[in-house]
Amino acid sequence: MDLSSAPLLYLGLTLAIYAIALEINRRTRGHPLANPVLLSVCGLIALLWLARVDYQNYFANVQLIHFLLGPATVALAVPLFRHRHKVRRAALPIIAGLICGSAAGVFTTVAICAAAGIDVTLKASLSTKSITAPVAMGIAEQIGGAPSLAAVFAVLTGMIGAAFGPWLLTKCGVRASLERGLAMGTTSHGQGTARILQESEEAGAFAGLSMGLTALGMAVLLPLLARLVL
Amino acid sequence: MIKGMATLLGFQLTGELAARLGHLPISGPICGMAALLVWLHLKGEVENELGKASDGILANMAILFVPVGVGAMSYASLFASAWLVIVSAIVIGAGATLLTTAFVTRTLIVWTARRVSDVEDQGRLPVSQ
Repeated sequence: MDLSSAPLLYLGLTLAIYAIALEINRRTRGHPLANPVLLSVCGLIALLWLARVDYQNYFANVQLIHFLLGPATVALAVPLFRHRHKVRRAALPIIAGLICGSAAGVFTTVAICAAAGIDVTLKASLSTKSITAPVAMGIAEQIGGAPSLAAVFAVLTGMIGAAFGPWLLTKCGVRASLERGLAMGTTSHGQGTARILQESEEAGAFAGLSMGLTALGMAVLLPLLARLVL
Repeated sequence: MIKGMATLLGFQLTGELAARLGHLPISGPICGMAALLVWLHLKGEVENELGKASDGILANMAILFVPVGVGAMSYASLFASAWLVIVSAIVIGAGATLLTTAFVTRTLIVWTARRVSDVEDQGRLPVSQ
């Protein structure tokens, strides 16, 4: 068996690096820069680059991890159901917050891209960055972006948001789990949800909700919006 | 655990089918999440097995994003030429979304709570204890 192209090697490597990243995160008492996903991605890219392994080969062998994203997304319905009463009570503020937040993100991104004069493919791929990766890929393609690039930007945004989001929210005096969860899910979709779930299950429920609603709303609205601003 | 995992996969499959057959612009897992939510609503409770499987997978959700994240290595030359735009768009865009969402929601919650308490003060609604 050729070990260099076997799932055993890459799955093992990915889990081991993630375990080390978790340990670093624990020892630095959750420092934003010591975000486990950020550390693992940097570590793996460095290793793969040194060993001259191309990404397609790596990705094909860690499909098992990637596959679990599907059931994990479905599982977000559980915390959401457990906190349904709170969601229902604040339905209107939640929806308004999501729409304003998503719009603010798209407009600042498009403005920065326009100021820098970059091409439409990059601009379109960046505008979907706050949508969960699988949905972002589809929308980006629809509005003239590149699906694989959109997925990378979505994950980078997830990483940045998960790393610095809770810190920024605390700095700005946002303490309630409803707003914290909602803001993290709208900005950093699944990764923001995974991060804020560590704070409380309630915040995680709101993050899962906002991730789902953002994906839903943006799938409908962004193609319309793109005609105006791209 | 197995039964719970099977339930999650079953709903993901339902979601994928709904998204494809209905030509919906949303991904299968998101549809699956909506379907599971409706199902839980009808049943009125989360059964033990499903709760365990969900809590287990959600506690470790972050690692699931590592494979796609490593994909950034395929775009090394793009990042080399446009890194400043990319980084500022991501950081500023994320900050804008984060704070706008939090503050708009907060303001509206405070505002609606005040309106409700105003109405209660006027004695039109019974004050619930």
